Amino acid sequence: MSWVADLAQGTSGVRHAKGLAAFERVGFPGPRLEGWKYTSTRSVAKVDWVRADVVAAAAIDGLRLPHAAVELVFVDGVYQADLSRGLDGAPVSLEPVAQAELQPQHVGSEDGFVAINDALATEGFVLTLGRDQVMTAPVHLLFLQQGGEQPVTGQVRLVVKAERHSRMQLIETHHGGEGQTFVNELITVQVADGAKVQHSVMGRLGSGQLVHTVRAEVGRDATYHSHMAWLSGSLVRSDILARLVGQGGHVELDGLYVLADTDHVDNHTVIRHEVPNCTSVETYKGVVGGKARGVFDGMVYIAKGADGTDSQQNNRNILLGDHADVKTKPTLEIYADDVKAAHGATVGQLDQNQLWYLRARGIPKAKAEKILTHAFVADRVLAHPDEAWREVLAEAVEARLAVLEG
Amino acid sequence: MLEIKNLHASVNGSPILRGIDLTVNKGEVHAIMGPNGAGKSTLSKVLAGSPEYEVTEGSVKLDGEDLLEMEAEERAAAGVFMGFQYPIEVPGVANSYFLRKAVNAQRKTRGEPEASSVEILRAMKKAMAFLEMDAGFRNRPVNVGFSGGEKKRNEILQLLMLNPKLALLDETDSGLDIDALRVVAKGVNSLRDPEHAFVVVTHYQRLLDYIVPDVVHVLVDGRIVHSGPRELALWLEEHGYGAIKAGDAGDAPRLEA
Repeated sequence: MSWVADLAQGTSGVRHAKGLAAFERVGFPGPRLEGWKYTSTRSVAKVDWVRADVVAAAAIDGLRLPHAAVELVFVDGVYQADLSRGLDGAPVSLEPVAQAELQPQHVGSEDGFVAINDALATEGFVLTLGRDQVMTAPVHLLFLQQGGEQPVTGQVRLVVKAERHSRMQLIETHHGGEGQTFVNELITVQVADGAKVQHSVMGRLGSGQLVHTVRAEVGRDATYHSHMAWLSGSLVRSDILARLVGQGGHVELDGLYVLADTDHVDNHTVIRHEVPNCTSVETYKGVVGGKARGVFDGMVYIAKGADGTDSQQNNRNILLGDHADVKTKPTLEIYADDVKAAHGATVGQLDQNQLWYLRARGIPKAKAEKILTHAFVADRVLAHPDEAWREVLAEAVEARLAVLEG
Repeated sequence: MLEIKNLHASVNGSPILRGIDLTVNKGEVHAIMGPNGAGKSTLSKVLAGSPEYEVTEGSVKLDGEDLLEMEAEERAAAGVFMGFQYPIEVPGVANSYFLRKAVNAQRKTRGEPEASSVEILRAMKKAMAFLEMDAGFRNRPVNVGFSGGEKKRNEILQLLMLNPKLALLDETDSGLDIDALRVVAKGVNSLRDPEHAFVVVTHYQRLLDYIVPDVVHVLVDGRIVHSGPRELALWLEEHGYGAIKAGDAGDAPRLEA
């Protein structure tokens, strides 16, 4: 019996039961699935995980975001009420998921990790921002994987509802350390007509493991902007499915990954244009060194009838050293007419002409390489509209690049 | 200052320079002219240390130091500057950041104290005003989206900021309209004094109306086949390279021995 069934004992309710049944049918995703070709789930499947508990204290002071309006803290996937702040009078209403009658939003009932989340998740919230409400400061979801004597796992479930013409900014930070930990988060985001959600995620997971699944639904004239920054992690699977279901909708997926040591980050994204006249832009950039592996598997699907779609997708990578590895697979499926769609991917070294130009001006080779590597990812940091967050991110990116450069 | 002897260089095994001899003294401006494919651009790139070329024979000395032994960045710090014919775009690196790094990297290599950001910014503002460049170029990524003329002005901005002993200008006039040409020449001429030397590579004599050379050399098939005073450039414009190429310089002005 797998740990999933073990941990499911003691849960009750329809969702849990259905989830467990689904998991027993599909199991852990394996290399036989096209979408899991480059990522092994053994380090998650073959461990006797136990549930984490509420902790007395956690070292999170340096991890807080001072400019956040609301800060929800999770340690090893367990919500920590005493460490959280800003809940009183928050413009966004919060309701624990355990009490909410959840309609499973996911499309992928065949997804093993969604099934596990269905079966086990008791932690998390439904966050609702009312009609016409504009939040100027972000909601910060602070996740710390600190581990303990035994391998601990947490299943987190979040539902974000941005009602009509509202604006919300959500920032998730995932921090890890040296413990054996695994968090499986499912977040569904509903962006109602005319609303705008800015969803940012930064992961510095160390030896921590994270499966992060986003299911977004974007309404008429609505915008969903996802901004992912993966800066370390022994196993990170970032899965995004963004569906454009109202005309005039816009999806923007920005991503950057800076990987060193034995990091493994697998970005798996699907943008589905289901109605006419929507736009999407996806730009992922990676710098991969050490013995790390970075994966980009991005699909843009333009359904029959989604005429007037405009979509751009791009993934660029720089490989440092001989042992790093990048797999990139941008795909485009078009069943509509009158569509503008472009996609591309590159994997390479630093531009030799640029390097020569910097050296010709007196900048030593090693320094020039550093400047160019920073410049390569800097534009993804600059793609974020929140200045305070950009500063945090820039510092974290800088620190990771320093590790990469030795 | 610069002493080139019997310089041979090749790219991917095919020889381009086949024995260049050239001496440039402090305070002099030398023009290198010649037909397409003669090796004019190669000469300046080889001197600046481009990794594209392999030097197979000969020697180059800058103030007695062996230039060929130095990395490109060391040559820059030693006072060699090449103005690129096609300046490279560097996305994500602001012009001002680039200049600050270059100025201080050179100072560091030379063992001089680094300049403060304020000092560098002040110098940059002054040089940009002199070159009639909009202040907005400070924060734009290096050469990205610049027009041909803007790129060349940016090269001259770097020239003024780095203040090299020896400036190699590789086809600086290509693709310039008359206004840009005037500004570029103004920048170069502002550095002319008994301490600076220039090697100006050009296909057309037009540039030399603005940057008046002391000596004009004709480069054909990787060798300097003829050298003359400033008037040689005008002669070449009238007669073309044909006769000199065929080994018959005729009445072309030549340097007095």
